[in-house]
Formats: sequence, C-alpha cells, structure tokens
Amino acid sequence: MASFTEDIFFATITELNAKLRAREFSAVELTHAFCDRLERIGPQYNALALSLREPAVRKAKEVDGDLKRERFRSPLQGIPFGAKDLLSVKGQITTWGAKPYAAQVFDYDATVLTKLEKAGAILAAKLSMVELAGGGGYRLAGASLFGPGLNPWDKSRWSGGSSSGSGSAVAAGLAPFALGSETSGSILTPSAYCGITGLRPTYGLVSRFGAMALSWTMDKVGPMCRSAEDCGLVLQAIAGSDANDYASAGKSFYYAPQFSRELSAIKLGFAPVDFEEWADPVTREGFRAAIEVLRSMGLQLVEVQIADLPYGAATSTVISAEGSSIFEPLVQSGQVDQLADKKQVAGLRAGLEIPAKDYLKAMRLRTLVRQEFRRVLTDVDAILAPCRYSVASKVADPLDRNTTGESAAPKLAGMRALIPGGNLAGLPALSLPCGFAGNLPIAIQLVSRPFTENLILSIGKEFQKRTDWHRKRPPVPSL
Amino acid sequence: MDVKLTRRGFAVALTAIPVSAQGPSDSTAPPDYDALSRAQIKQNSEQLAKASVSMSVEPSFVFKP
Repeated sequence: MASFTEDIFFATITELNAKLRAREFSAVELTHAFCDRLERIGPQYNALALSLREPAVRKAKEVDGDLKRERFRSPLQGIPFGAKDLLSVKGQITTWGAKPYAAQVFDYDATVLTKLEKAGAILAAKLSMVELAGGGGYRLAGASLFGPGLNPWDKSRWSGGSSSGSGSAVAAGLAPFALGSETSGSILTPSAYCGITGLRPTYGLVSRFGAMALSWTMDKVGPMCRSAEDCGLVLQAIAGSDANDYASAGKSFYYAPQFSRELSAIKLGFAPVDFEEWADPVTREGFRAAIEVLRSMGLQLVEVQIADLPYGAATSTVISAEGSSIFEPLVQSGQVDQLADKKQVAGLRAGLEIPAKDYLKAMRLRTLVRQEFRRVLTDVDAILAPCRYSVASKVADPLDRNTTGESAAPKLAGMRALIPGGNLAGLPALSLPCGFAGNLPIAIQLVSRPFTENLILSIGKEFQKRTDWHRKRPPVPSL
Repeated sequence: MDVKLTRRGFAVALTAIPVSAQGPSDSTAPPDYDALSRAQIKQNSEQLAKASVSMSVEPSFVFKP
C-alpha cells in the first residue's frame, strides 16, 4: 500500500494524473486515501454530506485496469472528487442540504457526473451545502442540514455559501476538486473565503440536468479547484450540449490557454474605488499587491464604470419568484418549517406573493444589464474586482451584518454589484486567491464576455505562475 | 444564492415595516421574518419601479446570454 505525504493531498489534477500514469500509486490507493480524509476530517468542517467510498473504489479499479493497459482517457482519469449535494447520484441520498429532503433518492445521475465518469474521474463524496442553495434568502451560516460550513483557515469563520462543503473540502485537501453551483455568488464566495480557485461558467455552457433547480434562468454548475488550470480541465469535461437541459447553449469547451492572446494586448477594466475604499481596510494591501502582479504581467488596466441599475433588487426578485415557484409544494405542505433558517422559511413563503409585474420588470431589466455589460466589455476584455470585499464572516454573526467597518459609504458604486450583475447577465467569472488578511484568504474576480472562459483562465494561469497564494495550505489536522 | 442585505439595506427594510408588524420592542424577541421578507419584496419592487425600461426591451422567455 502506498503511503501518501501531505503534498499529494494538495497536488493539482495534472500532478496527480502524472503520478497515476507513472504508477507511483494506484487509483484505488488514491481513492482510499482521499476517502479517509473526507470521512475523518470532513465532519470537522461540516463538509461531508455522504461518503461514496464503495462505488468510488469500484470505479477506481476500472481506472487502474485502463491505466495498466495504457488507455489514457483524460487528465481527470483516476482523480477523486466531491460534488455539491444538489447533484443527483442514482440510488444515493441527495438532500439539497435540507431536512425535508433528507431521505430523497433519485434514479438517475446528473449529466455533469456522467460526463466526469466518462472522463475517468472518481466521485468520492457528496459535499454539504446551504439548504436549498439559500433560495429563500438565509441569515445564518447554520442554514444547512449539516450545520454551518466551517472554514479550514479558521474554524470560527464561515466557509461561504452555498457551496460550503465544496469550498472547505478542496481547501483542506480532502478532494483535489469539487463541483459547486452558483445562482448568485455560490461558487465565487466559498472559493474566495476558502482560498481556492473557482469558475462560474457562462449560463448554458454546463448542463444542469440532475441538479436541484432554484432559479431556472440563473443556475449554473461549475468547478472549484486548486488552480485556474484545474478549472479549465474540469470545465472541458463537464461542458457541452445536453438535450435534457432546455437552457443548454449547445456549445463545447476546450481548455486551450496556449491559444490565448498576448497578455499585453488584453485590457482589464476596474474601478479603483473598489480596492481603495469599498474593500475592508485589512484587505487593501493584498489587493494592491495583486494589481501590481497583474500590471507586471503586461495587462493594461483601464478604469471603467457600470451604469447604476438595480442589480440587487432584480437578482433578488428573479431568484425569489422562481425559487418560491419551484418550492411551492414544500411551502404549501408546511414542511418548509423544517428548514434550519427561519428567514429562509419566510423568504420562500413571501416569494409566492411577488407580483407578476415585478418579476417581468426584473426580467426586462436583465436585458438592460446584458446590454450594459456588453458595452463595458467592448472597451475592455474583462472586468477586475475584489471577489468579496471582506474576509470570511464569523460563523455566529448574522450574514446581514456589515463587516467592513466603514462609517460612510464611498460616493462611487464601483463594481460592488458585479456578482449579482454578472449572474443576471449570465457571464463567466473566475475567483483567484490573491493574498491574506491576517490568516484569512482574499481573492480577486475576473468577469468576461459569454463563452470566453479561456481568456480569464489564461490570465488566472499566468497570475498563478507568478504567485503562490493558491498553493498555501490551511492548518488541517493530520489523520 | 448569496444576496445579502447591507446594514443600510437592512435599516431601510426595517423602516419599511409598519410599526404593528415589528412586534414589541423587546430586544430578545426573535425578528418577525415574515414581515422582513415582505418588506424586502416591497423594497425591491420600489427599486425596480424607479428603473426605466424602454418598450423595445422585452424579456427572453428562454434566457440566453
């Protein structure tokens, strides 16, 4: 039996795949090693929803057979991973992080999991999440069947939501990568808080078949990994047309950073007020250093502004109206009261009362939001902003508590609305770790035009060549 | 989803609730989440109402970016 050093648990997909091909260890050994960590360390962060060791080892044996015969299928072959517990796995419990669904079992696999299986990746566990992906609007980190997601960098802090377990598991070296989902911030936030690299794909690029629906016009599934390169490799495997998802764009994705443009020809739009005034003072030094790295890469940084539109109100209205419509049977049955977060219960009930005129106005506004981002992204290739403007909040603090400590708001809005705005417009975004404030990670985000994931991934890859923030490891207990 | 009220937003939401819906001024009493949620919807509605959308901008029934 191979013995594994800590380095293996924090290795990238490419590094692990090279070792598997060189037969330094087998896929079965690697799967057992990650399952051990998921089962023993995962609960310490409330990250584990369900271990899938048995089917994972069965799959790993198949992979070992392929590797022995030199049937190399993809860079993901033999790599264990975790999936947010809103993705259905045939015959296994899929809770959506919520008590009313604690015993729910589907008889089919989510398309993204089928695609990863074909690529040879090994599903080792379901990972915890905020109940119903927070669709009713939650107030507490503990809004989950599994308890609050705890941050591996500091267990008194939240891991972010709603893909909480995916963020914690990758950060703590419990899985080389994980799948998360985002309706408005649920991949970017835990990625930023946990110091990992997360990619929100363009709406429609990745099938959502078999994923819990919260907002059918905004839901996306995407990778949460150790590096931008890993995000590209996973996205390549999960992207593509799917007749089972009506919103599928019918496009594939090939990770090809080698064909990206010269960095010196790329313009990044940013608003200095984001980094100098809106960002929590403890994060500003890290953000300044990150901007310097981006400049040293040859990127042109250009000041931009986005129009003042009600991004938050439109996002909230669309998600609330669609989410409450989806979960109307839950509300009507009264089982909604079993949810852990009472604000979420009230939000789902109230969402049923949103007037049609408000939903339609919000949807019409989305067209304006799309036009506005198209305008900005004509002048620049991508938009740069802090991913979150402060570090992870304390687990016990209500999430509506302002943690920036600013007494007076800056006059300019900057890109504060980039997460709701980018999600309303269906744009891709990449969260990149860029430093620490105290012992907690901070991150920048890059947002670009629809279906230009290769652009932000190539910037991310070069950024990570020049920095080692994505290589930092939290103080995880050893087995 | 990660839509959060800022401190300012939260304050606006509170002031939008009729006094009778806020319950007794006992700081240990749990917040009236139903009233808060309705107030948030009302606040969203007011913000959306202020935004001008031209007649030519119609929502895509199947949203495509």
